[in-house]
Amino acid sequence: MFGSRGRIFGAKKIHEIEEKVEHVHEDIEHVLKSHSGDEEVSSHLKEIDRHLHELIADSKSLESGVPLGLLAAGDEGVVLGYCGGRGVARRLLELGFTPSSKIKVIAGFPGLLVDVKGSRIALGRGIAMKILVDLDERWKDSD
Amino acid sequence: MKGGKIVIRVALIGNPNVGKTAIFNNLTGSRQHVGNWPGVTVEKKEGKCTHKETEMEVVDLPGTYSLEAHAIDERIARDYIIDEKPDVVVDIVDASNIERNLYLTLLLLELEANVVIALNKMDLAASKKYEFDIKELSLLLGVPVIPTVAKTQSGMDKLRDAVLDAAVRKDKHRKVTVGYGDDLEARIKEVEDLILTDTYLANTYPPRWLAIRLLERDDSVMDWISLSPKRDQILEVARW
Amino acid sequence: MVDVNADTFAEARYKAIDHILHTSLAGRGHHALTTSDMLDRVFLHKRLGIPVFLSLMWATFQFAFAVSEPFMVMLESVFGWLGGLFGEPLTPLISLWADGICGGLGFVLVFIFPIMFLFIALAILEDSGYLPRAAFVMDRLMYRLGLHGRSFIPMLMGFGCNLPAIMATRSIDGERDRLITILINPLMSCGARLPVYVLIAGALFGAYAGSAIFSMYVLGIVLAIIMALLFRKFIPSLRGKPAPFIMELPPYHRPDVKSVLLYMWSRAVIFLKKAGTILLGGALVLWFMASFPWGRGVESSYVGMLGHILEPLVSPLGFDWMAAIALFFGFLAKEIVVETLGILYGVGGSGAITGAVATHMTPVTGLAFMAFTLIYLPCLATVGIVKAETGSWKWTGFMVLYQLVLAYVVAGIIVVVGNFIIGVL
Repeated sequence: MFGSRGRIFGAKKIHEIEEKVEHVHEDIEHVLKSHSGDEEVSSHLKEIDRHLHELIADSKSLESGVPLGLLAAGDEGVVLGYCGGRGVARRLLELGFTPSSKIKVIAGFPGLLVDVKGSRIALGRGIAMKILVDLDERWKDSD
Repeated sequence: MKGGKIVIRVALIGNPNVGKTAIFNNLTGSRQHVGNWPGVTVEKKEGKCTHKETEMEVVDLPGTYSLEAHAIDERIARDYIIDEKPDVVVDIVDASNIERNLYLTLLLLELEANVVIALNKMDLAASKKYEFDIKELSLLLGVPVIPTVAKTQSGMDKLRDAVLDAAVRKDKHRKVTVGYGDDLEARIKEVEDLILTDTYLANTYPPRWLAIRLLERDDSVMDWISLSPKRDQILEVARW
Repeated sequence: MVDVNADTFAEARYKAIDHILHTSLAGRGHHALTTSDMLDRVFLHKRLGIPVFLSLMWATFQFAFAVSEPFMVMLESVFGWLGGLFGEPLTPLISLWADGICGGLGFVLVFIFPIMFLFIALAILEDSGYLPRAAFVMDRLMYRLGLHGRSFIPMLMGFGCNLPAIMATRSIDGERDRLITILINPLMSCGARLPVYVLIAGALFGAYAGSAIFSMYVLGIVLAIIMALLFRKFIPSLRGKPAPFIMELPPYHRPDVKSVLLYMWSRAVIFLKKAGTILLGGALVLWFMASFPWGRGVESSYVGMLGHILEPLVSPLGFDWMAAIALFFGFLAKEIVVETLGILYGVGGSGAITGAVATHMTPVTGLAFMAFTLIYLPCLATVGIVKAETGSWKWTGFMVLYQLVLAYVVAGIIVVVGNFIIGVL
């Protein structure tokens, strides 16, 4: 099984990965067709294909994410990912900006003050714009 | 041993702004001095504290959020723990901010340091309506947890006792670490087994910790791995 | 085989922490707004943030100046009385006591009050947790200019003393950001320069003295920002985008009276030590050079000779030779500037030093002199620490040089513009 959410938390762009995933998907389709007789192989391949679809769905949800920098005081959301350099990514992770963390904006725009894991972190505008947040209500029941 | 007294080395570590300086001052009072860590322009604070016939040499490590060693502060803290192997590491945790503070704690446990937690700023936590089950916390983390309010010296004596206790029980403390799920654990074990075949590496650094570092693509461990004859294999298995 | 992303382990750790706290901590999840947050709504406000910061700074200096004034007057008269104990300074020994020690060293000691009150105000600001907010607010502005907000805290510390401020730059992540911050730090007017402002502004600007002093601090900040911009643009090794701004803001905190007083006390001790050594030594040397050859009057004394040699260097700015000497010796410690003026004006026979200032400088010249003192050189101790922190004579030398040049330029502009305005009025 792939890592829990296959999240992109590094420098790669979402659509690049989507493209790659599409290619792999096509390959699998192709192999499935030519080896439809082999039960075991087919079922494994179907497993893999299912995960690929999950991946695409996840990356699409990343696309539906809103840059944190655009939110206003009072907005809440869940961290989806960060599209930037590794150094800053690590910093953010240490401070608690892990995927599926809930955050709330306390003040700001363009720079921001957010509540994450109970502490207050001030973020410069550049970084805030690269953090993607899901404002979707459905994540709210995980506590 | 120093003239009949037992001497133990204690390192203080914690996030910035947790009251580490206050605790350092409480422990060492006027018996402290400031210098520099060799080769860098970072302040090194050292001091002494005597408690129950034992002399503690206390080092105040720079405040840090993790042990990744990308910033100088973090590197100093981590290298000190690995190279100097202090008898006890006091992890000062801000009780009013505990979630994020425990991140460093978990890293310390992974590094197999002999940790005693000082749960500081209990007064602030109380005003936030936090209520701790200290026994449960201590049990889950596998280390002693001492509530303190550095400002008022509350808990300091208990802390000193706990540090002495921990120094004595040094190698017998329960090693607790985060379980990363079956798949990740399998990857970790793969790298760890390979590390174990290099006796120098295995004896200098905690193998599991080193394996995790590699999997996390921590560049700073490259220097250590480079000297190993198993370098290429290790890097391959860790998918670098 | 499972794939590992940068966040895999971090996420797992926080999940583990979640489990741990779930059973061991009650009362979590209250993300209600705290008092801290309310305060931050104001202090970090998009539009109000910077005005609030400037007002706070202005209030700080007003406080320091106003509260210290009565104490200064009191101490000044004590030294005046002490100086006159033995009558007119007709012999070298009496002159040494009256003009050298009371008139020089004693004069500087009077300024311990504004300096201490300034440090108290700064300590309160720091202890309250406001400083990271100031850095964040300034970052917004500085980001637009391509600078790093994180540098602002060491810069604010520079208002107290440049030495610990430069040491504080160690907390800055990027090497380039750090170097720039060190280079511009001396432009943040330190506590030792305050006596000069108080003396000259008090003598020449009457009711506007407070604002004149405040304007020096603002001038320092403005110059610091401009120089940082120029450095980043034109010096190849300092180019590049500033490091991203991420900072944890600890909650606001009622300043602890004990630690504020302790801090003030330690700074007071430092000042007194300085007074007992460098300032006392300087006073003695100066008094000697100003009084000998004996009986010739200050114009023809040793210091007068030196002064007249130096005078051409500053006369375009309207400074006389006494000002030149004051600046010359001010390299050792900025307080010496005031001490020197005290001795020279005193040995020259002027009773009231404040009155003496008015005869030697015009408001325009005075303002230019204040600005020159602000900019021209950091004190010896600061130069030393810059060398230690940067490890490079090249950068240290560069800093000294650019500050000298900038001092002349700015003072020159003040003189030209000031005289023009006066001419027009």
